Amino acid sequence: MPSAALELRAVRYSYPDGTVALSGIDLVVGEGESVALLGPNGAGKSTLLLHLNGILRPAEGAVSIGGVRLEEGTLRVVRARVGMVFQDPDDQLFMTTLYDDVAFGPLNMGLARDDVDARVHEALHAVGLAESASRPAQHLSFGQRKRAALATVLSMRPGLLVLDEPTSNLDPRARREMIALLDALPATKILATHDMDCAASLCRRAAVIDGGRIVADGPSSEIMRDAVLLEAHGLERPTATLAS
Amino acid sequence: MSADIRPGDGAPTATPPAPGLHRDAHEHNGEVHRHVHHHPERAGPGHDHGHGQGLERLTYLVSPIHDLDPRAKIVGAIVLILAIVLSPPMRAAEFIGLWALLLSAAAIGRLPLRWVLARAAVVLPVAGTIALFAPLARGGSLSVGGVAGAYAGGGWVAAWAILSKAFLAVTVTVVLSGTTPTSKIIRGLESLRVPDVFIALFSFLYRYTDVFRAQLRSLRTALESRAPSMPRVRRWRLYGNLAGNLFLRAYDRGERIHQAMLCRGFSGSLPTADTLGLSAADALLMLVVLLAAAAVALY
Repeated sequence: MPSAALELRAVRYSYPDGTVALSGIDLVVGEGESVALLGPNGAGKSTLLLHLNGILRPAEGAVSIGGVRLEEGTLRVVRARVGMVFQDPDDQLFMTTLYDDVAFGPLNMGLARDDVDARVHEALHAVGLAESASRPAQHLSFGQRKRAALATVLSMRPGLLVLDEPTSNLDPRARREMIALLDALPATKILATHDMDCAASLCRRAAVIDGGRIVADGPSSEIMRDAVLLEAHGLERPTATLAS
Repeated sequence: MSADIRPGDGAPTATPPAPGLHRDAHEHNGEVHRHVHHHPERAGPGHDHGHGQGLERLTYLVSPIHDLDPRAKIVGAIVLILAIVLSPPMRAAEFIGLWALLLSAAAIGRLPLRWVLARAAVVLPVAGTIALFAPLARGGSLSVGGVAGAYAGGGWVAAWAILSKAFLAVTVTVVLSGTTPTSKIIRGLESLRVPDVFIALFSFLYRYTDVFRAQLRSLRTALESRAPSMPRVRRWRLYGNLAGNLFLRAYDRGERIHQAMLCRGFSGSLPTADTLGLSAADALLMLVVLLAAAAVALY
């Protein structure tokens, strides 16, 4: 049996001030799956995502990526495999030009200059920002920065894409473009979002997280019709399913 | 240099540009640029891609000054500024000579003269205020005679020195920053062995100044809209809280940026794609700068 793209076993985590953020998370995601992580504010979604490449370490339990257990010695391997896209693109775009931002990951992976050029080219084309390569991030629009943030991890060719609120604060057109863009990417995807329509159109599977534990996990089509479950955890049905 | 200039979107070519990374010069509405760019996958004929405005646009023009190695320009600027600052008050000939040198550099660099003057003039109110004290003050106290008094003569010379030197020194930095993309200045500093910490500091300062300005603006707006009629003194006191709030946000953001850097394999230095190379032109620049500095120092 091939190893799962992602495997979390009984992961617990508390913040330094003692607040329990995750109290026993079990989650297995297969290669090529897309999973939406749903839940109210403060449910632990972002904390969970930060565990997927070792930015935060579980107090108890284990995290494995593609069969590699995440620990001090495997950190670099795992980080090259997991593409983490933060919610605020200004956190992700820290270099002086877009080119340098997209090249940051590949250069740190120790790739040759020509390879880096090719990867930047490919990633910028994938997000439709090829023409802005030499521009600084502060001269891009918010929608462009959101796509640029995605390009900075695509250039590392990650097997697992971890996205925190990929559609937040986007205008409707930019949001549609972002959803189409993500849909076209073959990588395994985990996305934390409040955008129920985005989750419904991108992910066949959804997990609801609340109070630091997973309270429901199953096909999106079922979870998103379960009005009682969604209401209980501060969520709502996607507009696409309301008519039926 | 002119061999690889491609017509821009103003003058379509018959064949679409080859896909891939381009570093070649190209023309847009009569302006020749060079910067790293890519073309849309199914690019039509022409040279269609985004361009910056303002300072960013100027730094991508193509000129002999733009082509110089950033290290040569940085060292040249430092030498010139030191010579300007450390020399005795300048005589008219020296001032005019340096001014002519800088303006010709700006002209060769295709910088609009008015833009250079306007940018350099920003320093005048600040330097002017300081310069005004020179004729008034003498030996630590205000002189009795005022600006036209008997003791004011030496002070006027000092005032001229302060104003002329500030203006020239700032003009040097304007010409440098107008003809060199910021990423190249940072790359140049890096290769001149400026410590990584300062490099990171400069790049983040460049990248995040606008972000913090926007945050400060929204904090102020929130304050003004909830307390439209607050007395000025109380409002100023509140600005103290505002600064604290901004500091905390900056701290949080710093943490998130660091996380984002770690995610992409950060290991201590900021790699950039700009490659550097010294040429005969850089040697010529150094020679001109050293001669000018020597002339100012020795004349």
